[in-house]
Amino acid sequence: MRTPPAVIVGASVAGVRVAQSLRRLGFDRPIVLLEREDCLPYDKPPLSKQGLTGPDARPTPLLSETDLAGLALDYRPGVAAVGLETSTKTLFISDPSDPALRYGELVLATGCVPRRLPHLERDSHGQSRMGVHYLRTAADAVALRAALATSRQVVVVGAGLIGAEVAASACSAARTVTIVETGQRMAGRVLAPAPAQHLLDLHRARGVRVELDTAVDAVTGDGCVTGVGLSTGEMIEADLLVVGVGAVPDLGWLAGSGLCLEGTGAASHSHTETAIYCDASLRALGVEDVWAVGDVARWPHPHPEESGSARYEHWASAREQAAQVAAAIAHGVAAPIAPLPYLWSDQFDVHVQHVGWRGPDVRRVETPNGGVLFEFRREGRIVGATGFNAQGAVLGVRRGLG
Amino acid sequence: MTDLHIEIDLDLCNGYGNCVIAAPDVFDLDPETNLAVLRTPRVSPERRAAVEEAAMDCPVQAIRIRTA
Repeated sequence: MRTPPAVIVGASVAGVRVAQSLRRLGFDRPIVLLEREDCLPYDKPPLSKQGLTGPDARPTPLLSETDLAGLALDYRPGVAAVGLETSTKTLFISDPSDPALRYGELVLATGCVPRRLPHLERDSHGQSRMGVHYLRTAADAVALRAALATSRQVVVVGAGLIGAEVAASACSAARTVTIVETGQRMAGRVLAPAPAQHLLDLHRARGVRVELDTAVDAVTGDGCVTGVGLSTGEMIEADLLVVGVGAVPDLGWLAGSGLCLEGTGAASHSHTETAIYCDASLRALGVEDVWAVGDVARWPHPHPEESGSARYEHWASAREQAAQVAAAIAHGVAAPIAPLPYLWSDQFDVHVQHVGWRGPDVRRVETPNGGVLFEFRREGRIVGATGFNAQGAVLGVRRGLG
Repeated sequence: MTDLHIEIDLDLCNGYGNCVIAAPDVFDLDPETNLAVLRTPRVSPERRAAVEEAAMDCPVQAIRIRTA
């Protein structure tokens, strides 16, 4: 009987790094790598940065054809996972010629999809309106890049990092840009109030209009976007609307699989969002030989700054999770996984980085080469930092925490 | 076994620092430019695994390794 392969679902950084690490660790059984999008594996962070207005529209490859061959990966682009039967270790996929795939080990790295705002997408005839964009995939980036090239007035819904990056790119390309955010500050999910204010000041200084505590109530224009109506009553003209209001794991296809997706029972830490609930080493709870890595995984993070469990949407932690899951599969070494949060963003000519956690005490430090660092402390100890063009100082904090 | 020859593409580098975490004996950040620098241009082949980790951890794939 043939040995079933290790199957990895999703070829973004998490899935690709699992495959690479497995081979580096000497795993010599077949590896199948499935990717819903029909293209070579590519990296997501550049899509909202240089991918939008830079000279090269092509996505940054994670693996070339040569790399795929060198790693002996059975790479299947354009194939989605559609169902899972853990009792028989069978993954159902969207390939009609081979719809049921037996696996030895299964790694779920399917990532997130954008949270959508359907009421902004439909016009008064119920038709999908031109000029409303989301940004997650390479195809999204190509479409947004083309729309940006012919637009004049851009409204970005949501002041998260992706929205802020899009706004900065559009503003740098001399578009009139307005960010509309329902929350009290920019990037409020990842930045503490002081660095969030610093980011807000940067955007306003460069000419982006930022409206906080404000919602987009309505969009005008049949067929194409012509403007937006704000919750303040103001109307703004717009020919391009970019919606960046967060992302959620897309796990509907796993309903009934036996995986724990809702945070009930032992894994519950009062989180209600859908995710794949895992043990400390990222094994999916309740099933055998299934792991989750990257955006889809929620697991008990041992750090005291985490409230029981964590789910990270960061490139760096996906990479670290992938290496440890590969070690678990290749060598049976299941160690608790505790990545240090580390994320970055590029806006205008400013490299924003955040490492660690936000503590209650904030200190603002100017670095000798013109950067700004916000250090967070709890009981006198540094627990994290946010930097603006302060790479050296952020690295110092990161090394101290790691 | 010959030394590894390492190159950093400074047009791509943005001082993420992942290389320094992976191989602190090989990489550092220049405090003036915020970009990565090599502590030494040639590295012993025993450090290949760590340098490969660093190259894989670079978000912009700015690190090239050649066997000189």
